Amino acid sequence: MADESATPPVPRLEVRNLTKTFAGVAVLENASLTIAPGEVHALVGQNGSGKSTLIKLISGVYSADPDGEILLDGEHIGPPIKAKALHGQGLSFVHQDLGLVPDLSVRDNVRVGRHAVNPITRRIRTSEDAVAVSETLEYLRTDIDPSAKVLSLLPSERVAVAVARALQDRTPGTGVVVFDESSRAIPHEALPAFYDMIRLLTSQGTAVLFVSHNLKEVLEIADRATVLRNGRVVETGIPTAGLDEAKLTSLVLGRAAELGDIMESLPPAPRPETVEFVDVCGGRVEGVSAAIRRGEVVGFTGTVDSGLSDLGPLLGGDRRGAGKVKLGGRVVDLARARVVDLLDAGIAFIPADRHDKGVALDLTVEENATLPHLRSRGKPWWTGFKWQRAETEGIIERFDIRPPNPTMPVAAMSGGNQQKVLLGKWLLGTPDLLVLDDPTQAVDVGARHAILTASRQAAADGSAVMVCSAEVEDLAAICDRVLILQDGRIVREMTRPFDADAVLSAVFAVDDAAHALPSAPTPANEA
Amino acid sequence: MATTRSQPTIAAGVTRQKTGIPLTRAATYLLQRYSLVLLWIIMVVLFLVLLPNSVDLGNASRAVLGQQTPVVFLGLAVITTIAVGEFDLSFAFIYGLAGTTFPALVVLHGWPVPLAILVALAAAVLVGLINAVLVVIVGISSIVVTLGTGSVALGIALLMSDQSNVSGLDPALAQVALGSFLGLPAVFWYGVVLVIVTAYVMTATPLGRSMLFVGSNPNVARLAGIPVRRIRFGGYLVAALLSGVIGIILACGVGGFSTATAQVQMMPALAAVFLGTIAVVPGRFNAIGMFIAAYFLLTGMFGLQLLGLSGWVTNVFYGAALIIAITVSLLLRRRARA
Repeated sequence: MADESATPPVPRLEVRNLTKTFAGVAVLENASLTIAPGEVHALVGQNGSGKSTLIKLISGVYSADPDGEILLDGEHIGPPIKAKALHGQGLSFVHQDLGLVPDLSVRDNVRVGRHAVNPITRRIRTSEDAVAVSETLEYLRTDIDPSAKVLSLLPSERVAVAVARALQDRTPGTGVVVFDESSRAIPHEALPAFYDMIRLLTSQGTAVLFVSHNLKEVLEIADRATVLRNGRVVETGIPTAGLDEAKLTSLVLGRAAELGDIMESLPPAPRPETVEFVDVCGGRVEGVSAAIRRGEVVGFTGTVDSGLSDLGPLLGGDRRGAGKVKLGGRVVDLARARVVDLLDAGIAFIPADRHDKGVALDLTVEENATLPHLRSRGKPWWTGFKWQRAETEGIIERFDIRPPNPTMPVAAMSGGNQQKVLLGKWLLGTPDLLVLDDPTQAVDVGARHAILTASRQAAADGSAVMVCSAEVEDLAAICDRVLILQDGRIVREMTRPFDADAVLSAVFAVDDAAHALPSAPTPANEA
Repeated sequence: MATTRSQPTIAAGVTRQKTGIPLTRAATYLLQRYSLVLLWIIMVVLFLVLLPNSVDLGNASRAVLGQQTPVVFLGLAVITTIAVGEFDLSFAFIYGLAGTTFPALVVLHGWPVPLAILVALAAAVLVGLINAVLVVIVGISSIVVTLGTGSVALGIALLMSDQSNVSGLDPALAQVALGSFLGLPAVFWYGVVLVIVTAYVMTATPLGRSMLFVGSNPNVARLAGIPVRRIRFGGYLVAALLSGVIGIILACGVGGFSTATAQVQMMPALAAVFLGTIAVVPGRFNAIGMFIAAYFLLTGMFGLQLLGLSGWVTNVFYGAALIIAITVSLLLRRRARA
């Protein structure tokens, strides 16, 4: 209502009734939104909600069904959209990975595709390019050297380069910049600078469409939000001032999903048996000894250089190391164990790099999900088919995998659903020790809730669960204890009750004390 | 208003799916998997129309299916390596090496047949072993290694045959390859049996599933406890063994071997494997698809020969078939992922 009374004369970007159907099924229906000059407009929704479809329609990757309309500063630009003309029309995109080439200079990265050239020889006029780039960078109030290579830049400066590219040849204060999950590529410590830059753009009149999974971030940076669910707009242009995280979450999910509920519905029920790590070393891990009881979820966290990212792979057999794991009366020597030995000992490892190590994208859900169980359930000459289908359908139901199609290649699913397939694959047999490495990386709020619940559920079913993560809120939501790593060793143990802030400040405190630095590096969640 | 207009879209989609059963869906299913068979029939009809003299279909099909061809065996050799993510180009040369070694030892050096067969097979497997060691253990690019070992194998074969065609094996041995069953020679039936066995192993056994994962994502396979190196290693050995075996069988059938022609078989085998990915299990390297594709290609070649084209046309036909097959199979796989 508030936004209607304040309707600006001409919206920077207006989307009217965009629909996209694939093979008779509408994946996006009648999506509409308007973005005013100087506004940060957030687009939120789960994977599969139609969010990426909408962005692809606006950017011309897909063409929308003909009855919709896209207007830029009141001018009809599609459909059909001409992707090549978009930048000139005033619409530019900053994508997930920022799209920078580290080996090239800032100047080349900013000007790529729009180099100033000599009209006859087509030789690039580097001096003209440099002037244009310097102007843009100055406008962004950064003092990056245009001839520096991108790989030599700080993360926050790289963001500026990506934004500078989006603003090339643009009159200051005009146009629309779409940030498509850009903050995912930005480490925590560089985020404030990124937000400042967005505010700078909008203060001049440029409009920003901000796509993000991170609802906290959306509430902080956006003026209004449009929420998509199941291919439909459930709220458009709702002012974020009247929202909190819980309300926004329930809009996105269509139901409330409090992370706090997980502990309540699955309270701690530790059992006497323990899984013990004795002097685990390898990579940056210098010697970790700990015990996790069955039925318990123990979080491991720390800064980037704490060894956190090596710990999971060491226990899962993805990295060679040394040390022992004692579980169920067996002792596994990590220096000598093969992956098969770890599996036989009852250790299930869910790697952080889903695409490279978690699932085979070309293969089907069923093939992926049943892989670890073939040896025990199948015979050497006959895998058997009935149990595979039954187990896969069980996983699909338990984790609410969509679409519920066992023979679909995993590549065709959204990231959150791929992660659920990966979880289902390893949780089926109730492992003795479940090792999760950064499990909620790049998944939406619904999948995140499902993944965290599943981890807690695994403990309730009798597994000892270990979660290696820099996401302190996830740890606070499901862990009975949190162990803080520093320089490859455990330096502090926290036991419930604790909240996310307590964990985060514990990580900082440890780091501060160790390095006696005024500004400690934040725990970035890089893979 | 917006909702009323949108309703039919979804409803239409759903009803189409539901009433589409079972006829349309069955037809789509068959068409997706067996379009190659349909193409085959179209091609045969085309030839029948084009050929000036009326051709007896029975004789023609016996001529195609009864060919003394290594393509099916070699296709299987390619599948066992390519399915686990390796690319072995030495198979045709290994085939030549074994096919030459066996008659050369018997005819030129007077060795007893069983011993000569054993040595020929050992030579074939040795090349496979060298491939496996250099690619899997040392870690060199498979294309480079197998091109090199293949060239060496061919050279040695030429040396052993004194650079000429070896002939003069005991005609009684010909039964091994030519012995007829249901009007078709034994070679054909060996191929059928091996194709069935391979298809079974790859679809219905844990070994086949492991191969699939090693080929698709070795990291995932490794973390699931699959012995990735052993499977890649095994792929090279089995491929070499299959190539060697067919070399020996065909040498028996012909009574000798023409070494220089061995490498000609490389193109049709590769083309059959890639073309086979559009049939039976679309988007995947599969034995039955390869089998259908192999005879599809042999039919095409046979028809062209009947039309009076020969020599140059073999290269053009198989080369073009390989490129078209790879393109189509890539597009298919890309569509499966989208």
